[in-house]
Amino acid sequence: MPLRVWSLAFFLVAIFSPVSAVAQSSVDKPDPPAVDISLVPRVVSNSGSKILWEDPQFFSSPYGRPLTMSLDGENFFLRVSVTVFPQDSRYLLVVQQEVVGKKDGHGHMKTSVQSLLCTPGDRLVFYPFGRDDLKNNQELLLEIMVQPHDKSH
Amino acid sequence: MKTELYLLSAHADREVGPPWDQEIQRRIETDPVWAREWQTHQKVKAALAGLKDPAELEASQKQVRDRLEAFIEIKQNPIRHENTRLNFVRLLTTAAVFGLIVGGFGYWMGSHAASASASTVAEVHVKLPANYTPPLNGDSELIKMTSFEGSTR
Repeated sequence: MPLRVWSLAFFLVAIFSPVSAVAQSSVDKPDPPAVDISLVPRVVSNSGSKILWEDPQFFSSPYGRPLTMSLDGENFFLRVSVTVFPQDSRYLLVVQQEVVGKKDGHGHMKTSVQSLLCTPGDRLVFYPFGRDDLKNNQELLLEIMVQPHDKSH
Repeated sequence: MKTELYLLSAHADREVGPPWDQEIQRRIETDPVWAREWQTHQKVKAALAGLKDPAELEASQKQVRDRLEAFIEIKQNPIRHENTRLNFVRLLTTAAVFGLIVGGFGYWMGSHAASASASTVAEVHVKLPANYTPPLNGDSELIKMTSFEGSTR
């Protein structure tokens, strides 16, 4: 009887251990959020004094996890990824951009990566197509603000 | 010769009285046939004397018979222990508890293991106004509004 008990127990161990490990690995346990990020895309007049359109988005995210905003425009498709890393008492913000132009059915792609050190609460503005566009009265910008995560949210 | 054999057997058992025992003795000594038969009788008598006590022999035979009957009985009607079912339940319970312990340990190990999966990307899609068609040849900028500090590429 002891041999049968050990044999069956060993068999169950061989079954249970891989199954539990696979089950646990398949359930992606999220990291706790570390920062609250607000991403506000805006279309403003050239002077910036008038907001023609905006669509605020708010996120809570852990460090190092990219937040992506896809903006679908009339003649372009824009994808902006914002990733926050801790840097001493400040934040290192990394912004990646991919622009695909829609022109006559053909698309051309443009990418860029930028980074900036900021303190919590700083107001950052990202201009995907640059500033001072005198030919167009409208500007697209993405206002970014990073603050420590508020657990009450 | 049958009568003579009967007489020899009786004489060997000392059951023949005088004067016939003397006559039989004389014939054994003078007649070779009688002598040969007498030797055969003596041999048989000695062999029978070497046998075990018939009662003991019969007891041994009875013991063998009893054992054989018991063996047949067991084969036809196998003995079932009252604890067979209980042992089976005990076996399953032990194996299940052991398997749960090991499985729980494996689950605990998995919960504390570093996640190997890729970071989950939060993504939002935004549709821009149709009348906004900016030129796509500008260079992107990331600036801090509080100090107008520009980004690094």
